[in-house]
Amino acid sequence: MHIALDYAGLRVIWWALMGVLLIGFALTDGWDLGIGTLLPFVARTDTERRMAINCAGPTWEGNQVWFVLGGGAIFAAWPLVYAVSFSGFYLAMFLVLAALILRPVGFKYRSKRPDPVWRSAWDWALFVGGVVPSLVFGVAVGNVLQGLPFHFDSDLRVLYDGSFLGLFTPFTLLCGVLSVSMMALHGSAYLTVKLEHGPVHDRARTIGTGAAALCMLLFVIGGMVALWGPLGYDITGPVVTDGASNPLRLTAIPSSGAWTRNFIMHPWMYAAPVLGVGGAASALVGMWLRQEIMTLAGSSAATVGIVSTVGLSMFPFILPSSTDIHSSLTVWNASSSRSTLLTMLVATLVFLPIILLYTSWVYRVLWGRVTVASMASNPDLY
Amino acid sequence: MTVAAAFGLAASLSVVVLGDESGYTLTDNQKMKLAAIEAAWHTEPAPAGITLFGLPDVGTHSTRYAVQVPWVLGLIATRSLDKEVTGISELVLKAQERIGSGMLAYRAVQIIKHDPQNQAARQVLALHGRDLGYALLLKRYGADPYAATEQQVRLAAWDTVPDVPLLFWSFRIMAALGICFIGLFATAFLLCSLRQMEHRWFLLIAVAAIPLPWIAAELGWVIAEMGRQPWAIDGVLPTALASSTLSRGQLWTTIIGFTLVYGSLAVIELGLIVRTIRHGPYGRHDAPLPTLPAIPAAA
Repeated sequence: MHIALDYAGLRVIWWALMGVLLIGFALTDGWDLGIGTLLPFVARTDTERRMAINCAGPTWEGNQVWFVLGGGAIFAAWPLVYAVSFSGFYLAMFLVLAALILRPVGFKYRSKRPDPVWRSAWDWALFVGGVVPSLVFGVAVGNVLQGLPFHFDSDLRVLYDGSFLGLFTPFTLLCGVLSVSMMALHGSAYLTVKLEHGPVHDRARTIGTGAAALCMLLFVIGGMVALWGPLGYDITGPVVTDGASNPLRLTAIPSSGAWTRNFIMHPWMYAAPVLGVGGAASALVGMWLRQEIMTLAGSSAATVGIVSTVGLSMFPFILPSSTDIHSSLTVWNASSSRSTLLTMLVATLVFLPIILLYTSWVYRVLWGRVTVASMASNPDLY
Repeated sequence: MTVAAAFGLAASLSVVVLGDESGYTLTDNQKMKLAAIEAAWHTEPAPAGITLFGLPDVGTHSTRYAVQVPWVLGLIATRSLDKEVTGISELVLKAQERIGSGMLAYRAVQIIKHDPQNQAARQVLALHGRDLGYALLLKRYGADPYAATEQQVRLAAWDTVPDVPLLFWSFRIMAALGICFIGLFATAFLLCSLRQMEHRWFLLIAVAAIPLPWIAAELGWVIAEMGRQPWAIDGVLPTALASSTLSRGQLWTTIIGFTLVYGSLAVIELGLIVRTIRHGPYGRHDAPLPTLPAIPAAA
């Protein structure tokens, strides 16, 4: 496929890069969020909890930066998307931040005192820091798929017509639980690779099997809603792909099944949902066969597949509006200027490979299992 | 200690250079901020004097009891003896002109919204487009800037003046603190060189000075942010139009929420710090860890 570096091409590239960064976050911080969510269930004694925590211990901070990077890239490349989503999801975003703030202090403070009440309180903080962001991210994606209640006035100010409780509908909750199960699957898959065999490892496998099944089931139900439910929007008017970013020029209509149309028009896109279901399935089989690498590869593939499916299904929409469809943000009307996109692309082409290189180096150095013995002997562990 | 004193002295001296440099940039880019910091109500013949103290009076547009040092402001701001530092009143007149020009641009935009091919409107926009932001200042007085009265235009022009007394005093306190830091670190450096650090009076001053850099930094932030009001982007986007349309309830929720989260964490953190201090600096050496077995090799 040939993509020119004209304005339209750069917009598509940055749309894809936004996906790459969000997938980078879901892949790496996904297992940290998953481990937080699973912590009270896979590990019971203090040593067990410390084992689970120290699987994520040395890398969670670096992983979390993908979230910052994703947010930053959206700010710079898709300023309108940033403005609408961060203000539109204002209280939800606060909830995510408050929960994410509990995570670093949970990791760092927990081991500062031996008091069991102290430690158990921080375990619950880590649980909240894992499950709340996973749930809210999923609910947010569900809302994006449904359309967000916002519109622009003629001065291009954004007005929000929804409420915090309005974010929670059966479909968005389905997406939220799907997200939690996806992170829990990924987290338990990571635990099976990082932990020495023993009771925590066994529980991670059991819970992971359930999470894989749930993840697959909810993803398929989500797909059925997209096929037959009242979900999706179509652009009706002429599309200018390289015009100035002006969201007041769009004409579109709600259209059931529109989110499945891209896959029919471009069959190669089916790779994404196939990867989503197939990945979860192979993770499930991997748990069952005790093939740990296969499990982790499966859960990673599921994460990549599920996130890509959402992005591809909506293209070229990024943030459709449910109350004023003509205010919807698309790849063609919400980006920053061509020179901004080009400059950032050059910077990304230099730095992203470096980041990938040192990240993989860190994981290579840290490769190996967390053991019961290391809990007693290694003073650097949390 | 000597290293810290030397570094502190170098840092507090270099702040003067950096401050001078950013003052010079203000001359070009944010004339109004500079004029407000100096409470320069009118353009003075070059080179302008600097007002060390005084009471800026917003009502009469004058500074009472002003103590001036001749020439200094002209030297700092323009690095010359013959260039003027534009005063607030003259900048307001200029803003008034630009608001008038911006109103034409605003009307042209309204026409183009309905009739994108209107060449006359496009020509007006090309001519007055760079003043469009100034017309948006009129949004405070009515939905349609083009319908504004002359009185409203005058008011909007004066809206381009930030809070003069606040900037005047913030800047002076910040600069005075900066000079105190140089004195403090010079003294510290001297005492260190003479191996005389144990003077009780000096140690007390050093501890008392701990919050001062934060106060100076906060004041600098006040100057930077309050000094560019009413603009979010100078001359382009007024702050009132740049903010989100979130409700007060939502904003209060997060202000209270973040205060509670960070407040509780601060209490916990202080508790841990106090515990560690009580434990004493040699705690670890008093009870050394038992000799550790080698960390098992990674499986």
